[in-house]
Amino acid sequence: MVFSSLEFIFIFLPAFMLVYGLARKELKNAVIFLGSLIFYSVGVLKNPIYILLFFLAILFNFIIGEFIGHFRKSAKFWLFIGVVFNFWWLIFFKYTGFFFTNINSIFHAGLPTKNIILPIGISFYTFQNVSYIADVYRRKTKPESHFINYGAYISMFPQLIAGPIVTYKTVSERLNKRTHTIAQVENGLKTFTIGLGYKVLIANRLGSLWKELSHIGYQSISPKLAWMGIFAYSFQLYFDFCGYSLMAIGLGEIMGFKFPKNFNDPYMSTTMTEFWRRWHITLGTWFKENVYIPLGGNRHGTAKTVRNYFVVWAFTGLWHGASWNFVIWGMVLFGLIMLERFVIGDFLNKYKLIGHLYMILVIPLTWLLFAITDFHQLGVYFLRLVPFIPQKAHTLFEGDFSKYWKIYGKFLIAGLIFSTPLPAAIYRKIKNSPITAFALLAIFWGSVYCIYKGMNDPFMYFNF
Amino acid sequence: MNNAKKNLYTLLLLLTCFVASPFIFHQIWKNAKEAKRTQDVPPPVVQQVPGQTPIQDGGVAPDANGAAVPEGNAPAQPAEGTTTAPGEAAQEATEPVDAVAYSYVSADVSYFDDALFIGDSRTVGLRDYGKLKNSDYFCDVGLSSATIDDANIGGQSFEEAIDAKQYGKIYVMLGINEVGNDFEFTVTKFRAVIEKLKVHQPNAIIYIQGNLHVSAHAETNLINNEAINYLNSRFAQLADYKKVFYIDVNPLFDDEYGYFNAGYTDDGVHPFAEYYQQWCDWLCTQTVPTSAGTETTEAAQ
Repeated sequence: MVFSSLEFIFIFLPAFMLVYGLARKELKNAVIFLGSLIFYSVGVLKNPIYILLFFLAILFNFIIGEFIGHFRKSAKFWLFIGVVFNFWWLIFFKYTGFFFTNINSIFHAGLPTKNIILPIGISFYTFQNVSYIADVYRRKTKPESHFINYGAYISMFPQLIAGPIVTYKTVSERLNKRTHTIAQVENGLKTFTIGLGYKVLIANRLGSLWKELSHIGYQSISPKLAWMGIFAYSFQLYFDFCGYSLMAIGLGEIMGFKFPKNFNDPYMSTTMTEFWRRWHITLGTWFKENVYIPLGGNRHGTAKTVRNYFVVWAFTGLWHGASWNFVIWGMVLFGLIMLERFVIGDFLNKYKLIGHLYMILVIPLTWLLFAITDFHQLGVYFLRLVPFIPQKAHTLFEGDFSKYWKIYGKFLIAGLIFSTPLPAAIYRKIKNSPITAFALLAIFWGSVYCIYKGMNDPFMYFNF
Repeated sequence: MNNAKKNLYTLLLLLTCFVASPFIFHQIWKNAKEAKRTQDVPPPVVQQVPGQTPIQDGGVAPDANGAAVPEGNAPAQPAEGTTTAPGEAAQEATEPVDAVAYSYVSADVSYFDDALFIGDSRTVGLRDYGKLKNSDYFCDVGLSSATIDDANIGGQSFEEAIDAKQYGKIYVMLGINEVGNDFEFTVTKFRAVIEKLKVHQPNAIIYIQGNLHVSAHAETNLINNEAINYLNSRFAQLADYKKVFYIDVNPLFDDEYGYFNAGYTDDGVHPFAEYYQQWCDWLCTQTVPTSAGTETTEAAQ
């Protein structure tokens, strides 16, 4: 059940909020836990066993947390067991097919490569569970003593499926004691609406353009359309993910929590290094706290620092998907970040304009690596971006750029505007004025109308 | 009052949601029913389609009757093996015709200079990526014979488009957007389109193009080749082979099982741009001579 669906907005959410609001204080976490399990069950209806897996993961990590906290002498051992348990499931579900495919192609073996269906949210809840036991081990937080509280923390539906990766230490206090006010509800609903608008009114529309390009066939798109395509994809990715995070943050606020910010105008960065401090911030923080620093960070000389960065980016690539293009994507980012660290970073930070120009080129190109998993197709697309390289002539439609610009240009411009800090600055100033309330109401119903019309999914209403 | 002003958005949202909820719940209910109808897609099965052999290089192939009729639920199937000459068959409009019997001739691209193409997104692709640049097009994504009378494309209604000038040929491919609807309703609507063309364009040859198949991965309970074939077969019956002809490009694009070849498409519904050129080449081989009108047309065998 995605947030941008009628079922979520008009059935699950009101029903949950009603029960949550009526429940006594000491039962509210139980309502969260139970409601989130229901939310999760709807998502994995076809594989009900995944609910059990999810529940077991929560139970197991809760127990491991207790052990680490109470048996300090053997804490390292329990941490090890916990980490192995968590990553075993992640690796099994996410990487088995990828691993077997590679074995098969190297050794011509016949291992089964049938895709195992990934349990929803496993990449996120695994990271949260690990961060919890690691934080208990490092004494950054005390172990949670109530299972219901821990269950509510991991399963909390706003952040269950797509983050932000909330760490236990950021919410532990409010898990036990939080206030609920109407002001929080008002504020949370506003944030939720902005996220919904990002997702439905910008990301989904631009997603249609990206889909259309693959229907045409990359070999038959003009260079101008190819560039428009990767900018559209870049905006789609940002508004999709950032929109989802905002919806999560808004819902969290309604329930009295304060989730960490996940995006901080990343497209305003002047270097890749800065970009990754502002994009999916909670993931970057996770890798920093749980991989980079435990490996020694930058305290053991240049060579080890480079090694640590390499490890972080190899894993970051793989975390995003089990396919070679994600590994290469991670490696390209590693290369760029090292280049910036040792060569061009100071220059780009000093001359901001050049930094922005550099990022305008680098962001969509690295997202291209991320977007297209098939290497042949990736090559075809890349060639379309650089028409001065001689290439085989294909069927082309000269007017394709103006055709698609007419349809999607406004969404690209909206994407550009909302990637700057300006709209947020204006919003902060007029947040409490009635105009804002009406504007948000228009965004909410505009989004609902698009969902209602099936514009989320052009196939829903046969629009060929 | 102050409180209401402070929490204006919450209030407005709750109020509007309350008002809109009956419509929303109705839609959710409809979606759920739709989802139930479209889920549990049967696995692809080998379809033996009589008269359909995939062809290469846009060569002339037996067509039309390739529109296989699903067993069981098909009233008024075209009589198999009819060898009646088109002229005779057309005496009785409802009498099915074996279009294999009609032999088309080849023409060059200029044949299409006075042609109008009417259709949905596949025809949009033909317009954008095909080579018939001098033709006119009345086409839009999502167009269907049920919606064509309400359509406004480039500021033109359907009637305005067909009244604008007299065409020599009119090509119609509609139906994929309504293949999930009631067949009889769709056929009635489609017949009305053809009748309207006959009235407004008395001198034009009308080509009904059978709807392109979909790939195995794009099939659902509602959109599938069985339904497409059935609809095509019903459309084919509207051809009299004097003024209205039926042609079917599917053999050009089908794989051996009668599915739209998965290698030619990304979404299973629309050909990649380059295949529209092949489609155009194929259209050039499927023409009815215009100079002597329909009189000189001859039956094969």
